[in-house]
Amino acid sequence: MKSVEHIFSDNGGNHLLVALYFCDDDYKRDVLHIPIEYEYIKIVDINITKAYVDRPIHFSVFFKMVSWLLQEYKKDEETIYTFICSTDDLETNHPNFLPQEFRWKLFDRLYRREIKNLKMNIQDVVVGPEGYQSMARAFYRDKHAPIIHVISAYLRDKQLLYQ
Amino acid sequence: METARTIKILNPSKELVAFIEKAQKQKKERMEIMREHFFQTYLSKS
Repeated sequence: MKSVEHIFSDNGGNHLLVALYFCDDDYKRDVLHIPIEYEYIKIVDINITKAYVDRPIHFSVFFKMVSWLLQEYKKDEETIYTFICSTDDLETNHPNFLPQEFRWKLFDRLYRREIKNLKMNIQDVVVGPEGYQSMARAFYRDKHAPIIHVISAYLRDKQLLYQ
Repeated sequence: METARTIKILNPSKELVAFIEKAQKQKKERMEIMREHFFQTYLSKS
């Protein structure tokens, strides 16, 4: 699987590591159930981690990261970006938020700060009951809405079957 | 134009739960690889 990586130093002893993983055709077809006529569209999964997980990191790296992500997104018109919030433990000053909720809110704030004039749509997916949720977001252009509808319908079916 | 829509699946099927768990596991593995790669590159340069 192809990936693009970038490192952002906080100039204070830690680094933010970001990797974009490009889903292969088998995954798009067999797991996401994307119709074959849309397989040319690249589905890119964003992965973010600190180099030193147990050390704090200066907030400025997140702004640099979002600028870089938007730059990468703009480079290729045929991409849909996805982000799944990790449920790994996270030390924050907000003990009332679950780790994935904190990551979700942070990513959303950064996105809304940077979005400005960029034409970009968002599809959010929240799976599970309160307190046990998994969150994901897709960023896409208008012309890729059909793919998002296909994947959304597939996910919705997963709940209907259970009921 | 920015639009935001949310799909909420409060009662996911076992299949969807398995899919999510697999995605989270894959995410964890990827982050581990990213850190390993960083330390190998960083330590080799210093």
